[in-house]
Amino acid sequence: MHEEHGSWLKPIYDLLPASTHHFIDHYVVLTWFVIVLLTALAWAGTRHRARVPRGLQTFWEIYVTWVRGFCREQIGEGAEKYAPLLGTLFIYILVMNLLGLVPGFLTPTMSINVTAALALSVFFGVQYFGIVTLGPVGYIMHFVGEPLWLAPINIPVHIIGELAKPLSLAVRLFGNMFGEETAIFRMAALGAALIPFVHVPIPVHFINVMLHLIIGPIQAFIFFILSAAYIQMVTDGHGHEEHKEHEAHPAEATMARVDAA
Amino acid sequence: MEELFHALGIEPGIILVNMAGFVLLLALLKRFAFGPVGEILAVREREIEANLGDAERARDMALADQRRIDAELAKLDDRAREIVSVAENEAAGRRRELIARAEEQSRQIVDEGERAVEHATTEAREQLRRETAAIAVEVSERVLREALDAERQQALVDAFIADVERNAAVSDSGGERA
Repeated sequence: MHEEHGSWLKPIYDLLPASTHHFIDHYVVLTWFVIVLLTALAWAGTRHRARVPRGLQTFWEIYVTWVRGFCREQIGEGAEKYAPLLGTLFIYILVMNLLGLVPGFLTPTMSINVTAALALSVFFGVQYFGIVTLGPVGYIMHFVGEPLWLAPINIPVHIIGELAKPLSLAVRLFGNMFGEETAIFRMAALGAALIPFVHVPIPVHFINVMLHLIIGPIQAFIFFILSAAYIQMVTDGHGHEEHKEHEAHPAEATMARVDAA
Repeated sequence: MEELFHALGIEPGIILVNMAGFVLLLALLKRFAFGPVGEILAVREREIEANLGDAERARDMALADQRRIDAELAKLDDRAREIVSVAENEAAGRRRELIARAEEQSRQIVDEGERAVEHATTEAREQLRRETAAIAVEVSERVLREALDAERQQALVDAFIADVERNAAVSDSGGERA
């Protein structure tokens, strides 16, 4: 689809040698734009750190505080160390999801390669945190599970479960955003096709755009909250505040909330 | 496998580049957002904790001062009550003393008055006695000097009695005045 209507960044993509097109597509260029944009905003927001925050510094302080608080609530005390990963994920996906609503841009997350990259990043991040937190033996024992004699079954089940997580993250985000973008495009095309009959342009894709404004943040939040849940599940409260026996496991509660949503 | 990926639009090379992009963004945001803001929040947290500590210390000091002032006030209150009590006792004693002294003085005045009356009466009687004796002597001298008839003697005796009564009346009135 992007080859059909492209974006303002397509000239940059066209400038790249053809040999790089196996590694860099049009959406990669769009993600670079988002990376530069977010970095510039972060730099501008914290360049002059005032005692009393103003402007962008206020935004970043609110955002970082919220992410750190979310990590503490979702994963446990001391989980602020995961805030950069989770916070970067959320704002990156959010901006990419909404970028398609800006005229002249596309939504990078409608590419499976972008969502798969994010999901794989989360997957490797989760495994890394698991090894660091539990130690190599503890990490392996996490796959072995209990009782020990069920290890031949537990290990494949756990491995499949771990591999299913990035797959579900990638496909969910890709499916939602691709579907939403496609719906907007088709409805816009329908509006254009109606012009010869009604003689006035009708924004029939308006509802889809409004829906996109809701779905974009929701999908970003789901990706973010599930990533936090995966970290919680692999670290299993080690190094964090132990959750009480009678209370639901935070990761399970998160999964239930996502399912309900 | 490669054909399947290609058919699904999955390009491992592009995925790797996207992952690198994400890792780069993660490092950049950690450098420019999460790191600096984390430091700001940590400094602010320390400042708030320090301020709260100072506020708690100030509150403790204020409470200690309040307790000390309350104790001082209680002491002063007790002292004031003690002073009032002593003053009341002293006043009551002084009152009793004054009343007793006044009663004593009044008794003395009455006694002195009675003694003065008695003295005046005694003096008057003494004076009357002396005057009576003098008159009797005078009358006797007159009787002896002059030859008196019976009528004259009677007149002299009447006059003598009248003088005695008059002198007695004068003595009585003088004693009452005293």
